[in-house]
Amino acid sequence: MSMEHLGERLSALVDGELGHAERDRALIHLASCDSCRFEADMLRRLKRRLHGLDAPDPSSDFLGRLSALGSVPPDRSSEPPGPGSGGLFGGPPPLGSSRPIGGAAPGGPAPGPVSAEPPARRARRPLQAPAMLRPGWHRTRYAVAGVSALALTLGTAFVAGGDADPAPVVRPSLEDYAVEHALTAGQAALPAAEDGAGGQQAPGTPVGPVAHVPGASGGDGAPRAW
Amino acid sequence: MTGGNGAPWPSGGERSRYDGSTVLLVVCCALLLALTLTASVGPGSGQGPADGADDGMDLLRQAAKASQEVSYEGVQAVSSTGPAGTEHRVVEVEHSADSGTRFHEPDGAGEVQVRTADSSEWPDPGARALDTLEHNYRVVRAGTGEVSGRPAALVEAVRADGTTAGRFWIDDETGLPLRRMTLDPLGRVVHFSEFTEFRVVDGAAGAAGAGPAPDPWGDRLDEGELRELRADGWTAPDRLSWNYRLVDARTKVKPSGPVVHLSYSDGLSVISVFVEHGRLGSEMHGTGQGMRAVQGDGGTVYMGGAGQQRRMWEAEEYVYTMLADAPPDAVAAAAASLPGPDAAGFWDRVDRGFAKFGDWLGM
Repeated sequence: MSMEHLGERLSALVDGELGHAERDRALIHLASCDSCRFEADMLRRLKRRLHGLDAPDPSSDFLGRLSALGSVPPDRSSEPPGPGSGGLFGGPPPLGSSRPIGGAAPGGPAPGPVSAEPPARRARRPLQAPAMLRPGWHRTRYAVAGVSALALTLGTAFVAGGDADPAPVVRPSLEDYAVEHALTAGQAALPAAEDGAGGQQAPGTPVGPVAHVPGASGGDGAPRAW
Repeated sequence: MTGGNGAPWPSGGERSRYDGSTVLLVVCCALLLALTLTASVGPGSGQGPADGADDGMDLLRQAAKASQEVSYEGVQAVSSTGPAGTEHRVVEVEHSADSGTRFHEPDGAGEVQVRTADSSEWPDPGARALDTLEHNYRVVRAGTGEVSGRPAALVEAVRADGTTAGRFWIDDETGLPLRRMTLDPLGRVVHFSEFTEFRVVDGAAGAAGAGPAPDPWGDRLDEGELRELRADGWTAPDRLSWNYRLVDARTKVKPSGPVVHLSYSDGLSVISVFVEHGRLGSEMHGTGQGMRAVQGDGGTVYMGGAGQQRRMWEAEEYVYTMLADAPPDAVAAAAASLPGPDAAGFWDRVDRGFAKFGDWLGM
């Protein structure tokens, strides 16, 4: 194996991008080269730290501007976003500029402080989030209000749909109605025997023959007047 | 917003999903529109006024006039067919052009019920019935026939689909109708009447000679009075279904209150609707008058009648009684166009409450 250092292949080794034979040769070289072994160890540690970082949280300025969305003038919202205008929410500093994203660049001189930042940010987040980003209570409140309004409406309709002052009980006089219907229809339809069970009947109302006046009904089975 | 390719919609799969939902929405709208249109037209192809020349109407109008000029007597056979069966009767008829017509059972006798005609405020119901007949059907001459040995002209009322709805045999000598029948859309006879004996008599003799008796239903309602009733909450539609038109309205005062009699006709049959304010008793009065209780979608309807169809129900603090010698489907359609029977469920009561809200708001 040549004592030539791994160089670019070191990064590929750490990333697992070398082929099987190439990887074996690189590992054999690392066994005998302190410089390359130290550099490979540094690359692995850096990679682990980068993987352990959380995604960047929005800054408090960004959240504040987000909560003020409702008060943004229409003309401002219609402006085309651009680098000079500060974007949709307007004004410097640019989004996320209040805090650096992540930690030091790979290979930077001081990676140590990076590991201390994520816990501190997670501790502040609940206190800084605006109310509109906590929809749970609002949704519940709206749901409770909606259910209450629905219950009130249905309850009122149920009460109104009842018989506050019940109508009087009536008994239709079927026999009388049958004679009247026969007169109107101009048909000799006398009340049927089954009707004799007794509907109320005005005194003098006939049960048997009925007669029709010319012009008011035909005596020939035709509707009234023809 | 534009997609990656500059299109005004999201690119790739999102565009396809958007198009699919649009097509689905259009298909649903088309189906709803089709359902609405078919529902408004009705299930029968014969529903709707029949076009064409009415060359038989002059004979029918002459028949209406003849009943006011010719006196006669005879024996009439009458039959009515309903869902529960057919009812037959034979009656003796005495008609005087001056005083009226009296029906007797062959061996019967009794008082005479006479109604005085008063059409000063309401268009003559007979003329309205004839107008309705002319509007709904194509009335044509269909040949000749014979009734009780007397030659007669045959007139047919034809539906829009070409089926026959009614037939009339008009006496050649007197111009009076001697036989008539009403048929349902399937060609079954619903109502039939025929003079088995017929003779012309002197107008001054017999026939309601006892003179007119007081008519308890003589109070006819004009258009203005009908409007007032409707404003007070009474149901009195101008039409029941597409072809049954209001031809007469009368009222009578009972001890429990006024009763309104609404007569609807398609020119061939008459459907009577009696409306009174109140409710039926809990003891189910209808069943005591030869009616049976039928549980419908909404509530209870009392139905009865052998040939003549009878229905009774209560709805919104009014009691409706319907009597009809008409095809069953026409009676069902007419009943469906009136307020349905009250139901006692929770949602029915809520529905009535919302209906009252609408009334209070004038909607």
